[in-house]
Amino acid sequence: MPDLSLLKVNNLKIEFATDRSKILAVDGIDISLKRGKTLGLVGESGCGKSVTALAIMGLLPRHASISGEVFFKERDLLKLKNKDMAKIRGNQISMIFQEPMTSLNPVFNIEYQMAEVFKLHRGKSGKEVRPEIVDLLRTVGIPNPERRMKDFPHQLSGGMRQRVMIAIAMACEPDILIADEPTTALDVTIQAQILELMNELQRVHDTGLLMITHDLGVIAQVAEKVVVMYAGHIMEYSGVKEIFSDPLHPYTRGLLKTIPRISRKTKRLEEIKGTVPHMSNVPPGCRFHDRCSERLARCSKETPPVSQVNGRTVRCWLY
Amino acid sequence: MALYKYFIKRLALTLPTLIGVSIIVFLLIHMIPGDPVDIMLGDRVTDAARLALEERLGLNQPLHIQYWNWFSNAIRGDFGISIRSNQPVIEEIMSRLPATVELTVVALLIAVIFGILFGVSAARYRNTPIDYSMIGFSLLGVSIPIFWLGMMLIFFFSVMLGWLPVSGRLAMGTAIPQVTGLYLVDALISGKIGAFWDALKHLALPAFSLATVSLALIVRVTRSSMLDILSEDYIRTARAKGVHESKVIYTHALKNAMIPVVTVIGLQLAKLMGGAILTETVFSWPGIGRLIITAIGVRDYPVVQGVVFFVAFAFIAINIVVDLFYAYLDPRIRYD
Ligand SMILES: Nc1ncnc2c1ncn2[C@@H]1O[C@H](COP(=O)(O)OP(=O)(O)OP(=O)(O)O)[C@@H](O)[C@H]1O
Ligand code: SF4
Ligand SMILES: [Mg+2]
Repeated sequence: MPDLSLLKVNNLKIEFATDRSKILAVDGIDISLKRGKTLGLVGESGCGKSVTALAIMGLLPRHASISGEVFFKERDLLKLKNKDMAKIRGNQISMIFQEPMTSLNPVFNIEYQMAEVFKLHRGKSGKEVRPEIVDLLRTVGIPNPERRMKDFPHQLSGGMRQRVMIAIAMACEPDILIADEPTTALDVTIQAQILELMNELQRVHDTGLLMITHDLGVIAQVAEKVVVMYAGHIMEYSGVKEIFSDPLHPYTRGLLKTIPRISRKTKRLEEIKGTVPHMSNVPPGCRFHDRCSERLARCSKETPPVSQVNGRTVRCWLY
Repeated sequence: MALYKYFIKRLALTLPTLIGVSIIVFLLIHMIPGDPVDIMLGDRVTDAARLALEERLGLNQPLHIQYWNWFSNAIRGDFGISIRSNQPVIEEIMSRLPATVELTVVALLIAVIFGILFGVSAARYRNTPIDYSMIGFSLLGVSIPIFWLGMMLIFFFSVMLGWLPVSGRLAMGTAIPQVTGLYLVDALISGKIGAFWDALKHLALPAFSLATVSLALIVRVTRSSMLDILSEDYIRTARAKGVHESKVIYTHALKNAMIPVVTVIGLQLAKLMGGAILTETVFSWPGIGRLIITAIGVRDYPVVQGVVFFVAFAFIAINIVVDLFYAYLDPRIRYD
């Protein structure tokens, strides 16, 4: 049966070797992304979301060792030479980051930073692309683009800078857009606008979107499928409706309780007790066991395998 | 705009700085024991002759009057007559200035170009043999005294290998038509390739000795500044756009990393001017440094005053240029 996935990640493992210890940041994950669809990647801080995204982009530092496969259009990106990977980055696969305030280069103006992508991937130069830049900036909702493109990053607000980042990422109409917590640093109204904008661009260009966040509220708005990650493992992987109506994994249930609801505004938000284990010292058994309220006897000794429940993937001894 | 106001303010501060410097130097040089009259006439001379000379040089007047006389002439562009040579001070300076300018500019170019190149390579290939050798070089470079380095270079390249001349600006018999007084430039203008080569060979050792300390410092600052910048988010963005690694380094990172490097280069200019005096002495280089050393030796007050005034002026001018360069590099300064 032909696999319609645009991006297919098989058994991805990422390890950082530091002076004293080894950190197994991602321990064998499988995900796939289809054209025009959105895959949400959720989990608390430090569970390996950004590292996964950077591995797909080929942007991990040299001291990271990566194994597994990342298939994009029949090619394993992990096997590509740096030069060939550079041709894909910013062109067929783009990425936006969590830190809009610092993600643009302070010493170049917006026009330069946008024109660069056209120069690199379309072979177009300087004045030629000016109309396209103006169009793009207008599309992402920047008023007065002719004047604004002469601005330097410090002259724009965080929301505006993130819009510029989106414009840069969408410039070459990529097949895949990876968004690593694109709205976390922005305030709530701007957050909604940015998500709206990304949805719109995705629909127009039929882009596959990998949306990384620790906020299930964002996932509910944009994603079709969700991967719940914890300590380098995938704990649950299923459709967004099922995740919200019938969460299987105790960790997913814990995360769901942390979503603020207007209906219970007085109560303090619940949170999952304890913290994510540090990845240089992974506990034996289920990685979530010391925080799990439904723990069984075997949970602290044996690692639960990945199992299928009604076509959904879950890693827990309860199933 | 703010930059323009700032520029005016800097210019307005120039005059008080120059006055301050000239007063300090005036006091210092008059505090050195011995005066030009003693040195020129020796002890076996009548008091009458001594008084006559003192009178002629104006040295019989109180210090503040002497300073005022000097200063009121100086602001009209008259720096007086050298006691030693009887030539106008301004001519003495002008005839030696090009030699010093040529030496310091070439030294500065060596320090800046190689300093940045080495520093960037060290950061790019961090924790590799390339990096280690750059660190080693810069540790060595900052701790070598110019005097000693100059002599070692002469010993090795001139005496032992015989590749380069020991001293001076040109070989005997080589002539270059004087236009700017910068021999490299003049030789090129007049199309004398042989003379250019000769001038370059004479310049090589002094320029390298003078450059070493600054070069080593620039390597160090560039390296650490680059390492900071390379971990910035916008560098990751550049890579995510598909920018080729060498362009990430030399465009996206370097322009940011240059901001602290420019500060150091500005500071190094003062060091280079000081170092030029030593270098000119070691290599018998006929520049301002030699002039002022000789002038101090014979207490040639007008020449010392004139040279210091000039150097201070040049220094202030250079600093203003450095500040303008800042504004070019960093838009956050330009638009504040
Ligand atoms: N360059 C690196 N060197 C060493 N360890 C790293 C490096 N980058 C990430 N890690 C480790 O990998 C693990 C996963 O980090 P990652 O940044 O993917 O977390 P995340 O899920 O994106 O969290 P957040 O929500 O805070 O962004 C962490 O334990 C982190 O310490
Ligand atoms: S395997 Fe056990 S500890 Fe882990 S989530 Fe399931 S029930 Fe909880
Ligand atoms: Mg992250």
